[in-house]
Amino acid sequence: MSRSELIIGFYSSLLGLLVGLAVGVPVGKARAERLFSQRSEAVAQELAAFTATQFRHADAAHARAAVELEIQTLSQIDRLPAKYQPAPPQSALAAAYARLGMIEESAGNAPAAETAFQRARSLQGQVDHGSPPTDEQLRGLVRHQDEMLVKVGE
Amino acid sequence: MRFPSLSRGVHVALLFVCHFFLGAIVAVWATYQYEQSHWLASLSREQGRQLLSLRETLLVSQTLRPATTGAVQRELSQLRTLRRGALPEAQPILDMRLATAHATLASLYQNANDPVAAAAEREAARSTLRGIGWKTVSEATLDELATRRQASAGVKQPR
Repeated sequence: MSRSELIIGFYSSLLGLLVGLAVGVPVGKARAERLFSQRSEAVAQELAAFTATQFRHADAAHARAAVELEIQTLSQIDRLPAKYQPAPPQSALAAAYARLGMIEESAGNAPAAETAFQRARSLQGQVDHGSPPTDEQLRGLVRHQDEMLVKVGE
Repeated sequence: MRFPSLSRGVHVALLFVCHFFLGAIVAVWATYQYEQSHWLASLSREQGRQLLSLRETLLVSQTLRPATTGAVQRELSQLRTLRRGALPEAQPILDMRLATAHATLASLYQNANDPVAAAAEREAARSTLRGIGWKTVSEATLDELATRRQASAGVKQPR
């Protein structure tokens, strides 16, 4: 193999490598972002469905544990950069706090219910960019979420 | 040794293509690793581990198979194994899946005219659901769980 053939081979390989890197980086970035975003969304949906079922059937302690896990997980998702969030979780978080308020209310724990509703009002107020919703509107948000989850499960 | 002109061209093209694929694969892998570290860095180490672990557990337990007795029994066995190694937070969700599998099995045994096995599976489902705080578990609720599981088996789950 002559020197000129070696040089041509070297530059051809180098060019191939550079073009491959240039093509691979945006593809890898887009796929990773989509994957992590779907991962967050799937966890949130799964937990919302589980919480809604526990809310319907379980006692206050187990329903509370489920909603607290949902709140904890949604708060983690909220800390992720926006590109990894399919949708900002504030509205789902507001619904989860409202659900917690309803659980505490039915368990006769009025101060804890008020704290949860207050948090839900503040979060939903951020989403709507207006006046904070009433407790009845928050209950409607929970009922709406349950209806959607039942439809998804059907 | 000198290559003839055509062979030399093919040789150069092959070198280009091989290195193109090598570069593309390395770039996709490295970008994925970078994005993953960025994703994890935005959470604390423990939170990231918990979120990933929760997702993996839920993903594995979601692989629903068509409702045949053998398939549901394998699913039950897989769920029990998964539950043993799962985070405590994920265990009630897996219990719900276990109860759903028992309810499905009960419905299959009922259709196969085996009321004794169906009753045993229904009792297993009830006992699992009571363990996650269910106050009452009616026949209708168990049927609803079985129907939902069978409907979901045909639906592609998000990864």
